[in-house]
Amino acid sequence: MNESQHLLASNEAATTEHQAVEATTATAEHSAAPANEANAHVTEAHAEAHDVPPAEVFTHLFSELGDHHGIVLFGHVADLPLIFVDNGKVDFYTSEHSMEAAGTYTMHKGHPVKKVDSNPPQLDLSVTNYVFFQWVAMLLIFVVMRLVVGKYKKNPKKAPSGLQNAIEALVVYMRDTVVYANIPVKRAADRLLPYFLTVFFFILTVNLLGMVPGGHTATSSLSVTGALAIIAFFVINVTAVQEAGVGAWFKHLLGGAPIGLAPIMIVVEVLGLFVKPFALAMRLFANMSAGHMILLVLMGLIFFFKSIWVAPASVLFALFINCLELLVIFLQAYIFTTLTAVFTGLAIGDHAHGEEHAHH
Amino acid sequence: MDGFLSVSPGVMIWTLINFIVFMLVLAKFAWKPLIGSLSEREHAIQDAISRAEDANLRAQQILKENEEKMAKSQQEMMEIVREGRTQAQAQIQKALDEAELVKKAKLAEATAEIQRERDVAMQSLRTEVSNLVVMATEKILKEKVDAVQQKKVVDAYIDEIQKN
Repeated sequence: MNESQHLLASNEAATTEHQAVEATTATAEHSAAPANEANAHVTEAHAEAHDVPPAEVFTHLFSELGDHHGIVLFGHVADLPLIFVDNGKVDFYTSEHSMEAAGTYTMHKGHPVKKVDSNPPQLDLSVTNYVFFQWVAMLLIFVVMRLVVGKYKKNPKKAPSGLQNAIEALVVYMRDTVVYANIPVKRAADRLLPYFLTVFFFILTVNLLGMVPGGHTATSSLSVTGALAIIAFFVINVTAVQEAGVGAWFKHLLGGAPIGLAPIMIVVEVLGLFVKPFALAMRLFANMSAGHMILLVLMGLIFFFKSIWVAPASVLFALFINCLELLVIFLQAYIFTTLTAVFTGLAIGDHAHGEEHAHH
Repeated sequence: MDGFLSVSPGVMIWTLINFIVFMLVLAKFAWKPLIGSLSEREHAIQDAISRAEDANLRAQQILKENEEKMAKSQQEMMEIVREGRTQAQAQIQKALDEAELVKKAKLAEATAEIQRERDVAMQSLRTEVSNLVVMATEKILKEKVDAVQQKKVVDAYIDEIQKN
């Protein structure tokens, strides 16, 4: 949401007509989502005042979708630290200001580059808004879970209530219908349960933070979903090797086809190994980006047509998209977790050795 | 729009670190106690249910036994009542029979007594009448008649009357 507020702010210096539009959109924002009042004012101070011609409205809006080196929290722009690794040298700056002041790096189109040759540093480990909101999500989940655990400790063997009840419903659902239902080996399922619970609550909370005014959806970055998919890749394959054995894992690459088809099957199956997590990453990324893009486009229409009369339609659609997004948030967290569990179960196959073999 | 689809290795590395550290922390401080408490409670509930089922089964059994006992005692009671009734009936019958017998005996005795009394009365009446007649005849006739002879005449006379 705050991307459009950026735009509002950037139009601040423009004509009175613009200001009228701005006011309407600010109110519109309120009805679309429980926006923070402070946000509407404060972004103005933050923005560099430059006018955006209608033709470039959408380009400008979408440029706000990437990662940033600052966040807007309750009306204040908080700087996030920048960390660069270049030629074995680690540079740490608390803000863009101190970075510019130090003189080694400068900002070019929102990305830090070296002043000497205008090349980006070898590794940019800066704490961007995506990283920051992951931390917020982690803190939130940790606090909530500790509260819930405290409640279990306080009155064990009692019926759950309140927050405990809500969390328990999700945890039990994940455990029974996602993990246990899809992973045939109980031992593996038990071992992987913490991973699946973490991945579900992490994605869910990160997604939800994107709905909070001033918040950013870290899962609308391919870097974040890619990292989650890399972990999923290792979970799937390490579990398969542990439970079914290396031999079975390699045999799996044949896909059950006769040995003569090996040249084709191995290519297909090896591709499949990587396509599955890649699809996970793309699905989550695309779903979480799409909602935000639509919201930006809807708000951008007002500025594109430079007409106040577009606002009601935009706001109404934005409200609808917000509701849809809320559904998608839960759905995508569930789908990522479930598909990882399904892939893990498939990778183990019925080659599982050990206690489970007795039942076959 | 540029950079929107690009992958930033920095953010990726951060995400990997974040997630793995977070998973380890949560596994120790959240999931382990949470799942532990959950399964503990599930076991407790399962135990309670099976105990309740057992108790229910036992209660059902006891109920069935009790019902059987009650039915049996009811039957016994009915039998006793029936027996009592037949016994009472028999007693009454016996009493009635006895009473009938006694009545008949008494009646017969009374009849015999009456007969005897009547005979005696008749005898004494006969004697009295004959005496009266003799005396009356003696007075009327004022003549001494041999009592024996007289008596013979009167007896013959009475016999004649009796025959009539």
